[in-house]
Amino acid sequence: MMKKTVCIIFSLLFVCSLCSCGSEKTQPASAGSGAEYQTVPLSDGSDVDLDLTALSSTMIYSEVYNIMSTPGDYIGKTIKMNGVFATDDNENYYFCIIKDATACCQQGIEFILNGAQYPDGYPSLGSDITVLGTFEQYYEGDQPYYHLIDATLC
Amino acid sequence: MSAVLTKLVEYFQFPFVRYALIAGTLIAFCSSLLGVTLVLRRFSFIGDGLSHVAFGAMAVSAVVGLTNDMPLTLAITVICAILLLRTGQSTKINGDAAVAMISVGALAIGYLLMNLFSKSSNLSGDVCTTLFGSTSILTLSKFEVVLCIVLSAVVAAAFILFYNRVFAVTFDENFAASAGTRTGASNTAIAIIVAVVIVLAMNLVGSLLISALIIFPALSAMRLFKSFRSVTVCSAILSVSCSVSGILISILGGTPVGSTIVAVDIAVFAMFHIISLIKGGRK
Repeated sequence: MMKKTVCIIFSLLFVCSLCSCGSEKTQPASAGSGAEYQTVPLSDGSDVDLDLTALSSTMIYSEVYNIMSTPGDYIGKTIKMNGVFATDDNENYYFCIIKDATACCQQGIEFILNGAQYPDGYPSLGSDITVLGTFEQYYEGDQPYYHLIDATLC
Repeated sequence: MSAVLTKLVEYFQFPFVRYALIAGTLIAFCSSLLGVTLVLRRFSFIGDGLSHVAFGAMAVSAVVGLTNDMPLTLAITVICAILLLRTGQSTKINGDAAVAMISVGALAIGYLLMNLFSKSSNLSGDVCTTLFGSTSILTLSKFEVVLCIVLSAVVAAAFILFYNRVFAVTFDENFAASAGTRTGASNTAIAIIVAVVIVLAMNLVGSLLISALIIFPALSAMRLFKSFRSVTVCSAILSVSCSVSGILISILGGTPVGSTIVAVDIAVFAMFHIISLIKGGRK
């Protein structure tokens, strides 16, 4: 019985130590966001806060998921990403779409190219693009949406 | 090699990668503990059956509009696990037929409900994520990781506390009953633990691949070890190693997490099988 108790205590200590592994002591999230994720700069000294093009497809999908789950953490950040160009049915909104590794899920981030008016200056539908822009929030009615503004194609 | 390490260090800065490794390690550890028992009791496919039940429960949660589907999914899966493991032997429909019936029934009803009532704009994506895990393990919130840690601690503590009972019931239930062991209570406890592990493991490999997480480490360990304790310990080490390797390969290579983990499990099984053949040939 003593042996078991010791085993259980060690197990609990082990899981407690794992709890501390998940804690974050790095830079705080954006003011007022209260969210738990943070952006991790991967830029090569340029003015990009979050360079998704340097990540594997699994990492990109997961990070974009996190961006859309906790957008407050990313507002004002400069994000660079690559994916496939797409628009909505009415061609009013423009997206950079990325797929997950199983190719069944996809998600995208809306962007507005700086100084361009669709279709002029925009790539053709379905083409691979790399886009760089600043992540911002906007409202349509009471509903908040998020997009990259002042975007450029790289 | 140094480029890979540099990349890994970069990736470790992302909280979700650390969360995935913590949750993946714990889920793999818990599933391996139960794997030995389930394989020896010829319940290898119960993981598959229960994961389909969990899929059906998640579909119901989505249709009802629950923001946190874990409590309902866990409750329904626990009830089905008890029905299968405890009463499965004494009913008219028993053993593999009961598992198969519940498995395909839950899968069909779950998919039907999602098709008819789901408000999601990406139904095929939701279904695919649930079935194959997709990147679920890399999109866990802090709350989900803490829940995973707590449930894993409960599973590990229960296994250690009731190790002797689990051992007795696994090898000879009738003898254990005649020796005074409360086999009914033990089976219920095992069923509850199995259900908890299944619901946790859906995040790691998806409901279609859970069986692999349960059976491969146990089968690999059985190639080289013979005692229950040594097989369990080896199975736990293998399961955790394969899970961590699979997650790392997946994030580095951009492959699907669940199927990468299972592929590593298969490779290790093949390796252990070859080693056992070589050892057998020398005797």
